[in-house]
Amino acid sequence: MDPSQPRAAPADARLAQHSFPRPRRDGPPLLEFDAVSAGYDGVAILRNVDLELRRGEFVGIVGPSGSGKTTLLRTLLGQTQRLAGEVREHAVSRGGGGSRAGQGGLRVGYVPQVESVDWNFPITVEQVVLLGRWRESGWRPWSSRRDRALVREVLERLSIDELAKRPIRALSGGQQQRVFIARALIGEPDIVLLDEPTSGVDIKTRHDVMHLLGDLHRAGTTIVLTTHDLNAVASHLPRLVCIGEGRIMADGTPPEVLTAEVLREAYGAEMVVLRHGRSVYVVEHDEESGVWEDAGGEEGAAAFVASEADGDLAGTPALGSRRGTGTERAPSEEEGPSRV
Amino acid sequence: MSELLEPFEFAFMRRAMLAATLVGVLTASVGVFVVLRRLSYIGHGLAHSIFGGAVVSFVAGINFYVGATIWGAFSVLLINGASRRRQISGDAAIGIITTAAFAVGVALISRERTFTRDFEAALFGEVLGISNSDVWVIGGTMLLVAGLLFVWWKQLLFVTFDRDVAGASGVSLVWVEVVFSLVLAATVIASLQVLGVTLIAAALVIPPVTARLLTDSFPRLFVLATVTGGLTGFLGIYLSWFVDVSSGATVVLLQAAIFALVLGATSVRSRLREREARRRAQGDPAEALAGIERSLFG
Repeated sequence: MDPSQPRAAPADARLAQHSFPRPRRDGPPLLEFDAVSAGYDGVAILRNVDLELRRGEFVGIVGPSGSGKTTLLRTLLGQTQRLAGEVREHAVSRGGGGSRAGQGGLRVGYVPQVESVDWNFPITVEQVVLLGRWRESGWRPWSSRRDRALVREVLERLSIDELAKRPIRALSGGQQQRVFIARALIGEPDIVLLDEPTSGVDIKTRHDVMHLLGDLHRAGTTIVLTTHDLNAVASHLPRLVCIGEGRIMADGTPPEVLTAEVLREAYGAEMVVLRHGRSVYVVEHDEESGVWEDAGGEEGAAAFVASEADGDLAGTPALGSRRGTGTERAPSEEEGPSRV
Repeated sequence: MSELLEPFEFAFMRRAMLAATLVGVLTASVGVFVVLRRLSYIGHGLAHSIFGGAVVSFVAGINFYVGATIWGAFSVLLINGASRRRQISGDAAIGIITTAAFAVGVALISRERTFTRDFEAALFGEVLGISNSDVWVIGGTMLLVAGLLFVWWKQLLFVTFDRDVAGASGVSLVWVEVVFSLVLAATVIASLQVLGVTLIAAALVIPPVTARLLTDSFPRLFVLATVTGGLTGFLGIYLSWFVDVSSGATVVLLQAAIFALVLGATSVRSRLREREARRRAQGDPAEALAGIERSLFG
């Protein structure tokens, strides 16, 4: 059999062939959800959620729109009403203040969707990042020399130091995302939460943002992000949590989570999971046009995946060597796709 | 020359110019946050609401400043609370709450016609009749507002720019709203006698919007807006001596004229930069790109 072609195989055997790293579960616990139900105005959106996050993990939360991804993120931020269950935070004790979101003193760096703010707001990059140190920098309106030095340091780390004095309206999509990440990082967070960091950005920006997050993760930052993009983003992460109807449907490596059964249950739609080497690719069939489409991704995602043969996000070997996996390619009977 | 100094010879004019300068600084500094929160209409609504509060205070025998401050701050909190509900937009909440509060005042006046004249002053402003104690109240309010803005500067800026992340970063959204409500209500009340209910909104909005045309930096915007507000307050009263037009209206018309001037100048500047960029585009492509960037971002 041509090794470059996908093949059907029993699920367990195939899982064993993948070299996705198991999620890093050896770090000390950071956050534990014990049968947590949470929501707004007394209405539960998340139901009976058990979840453990450990220091140094890189976790993606996937699920259809309205499934509870953002609510889970907001619950991690302490911004929802907890209706049942217990949340345990294990913050590292350190001097000084910090951005504390939950009740347990965990420092959370939050990166919202870029379209959540007015990018015509009269503020410079440096001033935005300084907001991340609003508590540490004292009660005076102006920033100290140390604050400005820290801003320079974090901007240099994210390769946007030359933009410090630039108004935010003059930034590209990728630069906007980096500014938000810089603001989150300057508070020295225990965990960075990102809401759809690749939503509405072009392929190049998505590539840049994911590589940046991969670098941060390798440097020890704990990262949790939500994403709609199963192929170009989720399938590259070490650990995925799939949410549907406010419940956790699956939790594990991409091959464990991105299965036809899990996706059917979470999304209520038939999807096909293509497996090749170490890569997972999810497609769905458009009945109207009769073509196979990238599931959950945006336009051009398939091309991105195909061109990412050598990508290495978050230390995860990315897609295999076969190029040309396209949205319009309906797999033949002979070569698959394999349903897991 | 002596004609130009004539307004300074009269104590009531000196008081009026001082009061209008302070009110100009006060409204413009608070207006920066009002405009950037996209609540430009709130000043107009709140002034009407506070008018209702003033009438209620009068009828109930409570000190005007105390009663109107409580009434105004409560109105802002109600507006904030109502507009957080998904079914009610911010402008609708302002429309309902402030007009209802205004209507309470109108209803009371219609029953007690004896004090109608006092409230005409509140509606249209009467800066020339301002007393020393009124100037002290305006000065005290400015110090209070300056102190609150100084201490809460970062939190107010953070919430104004990115409310969600500010909350996630530990900023107390409830306290920020309380401080903002108090500052706004106090500003409107202190400005009532100078500008009147009908003109306060303009003084809150025009200087920050004018400054916005000139800078992309928040601290610079704040300074430019307050300087514009103070200068137009002073010059508006000074000019009203010569043109014999209502003082409050002169202040607002002056602000509007400066806004129009700055808008015109910045539009011409943008056009010139675009033309320069296009001219360069016919030459070196790299230089053309740099020119476009300059024309866009200054």
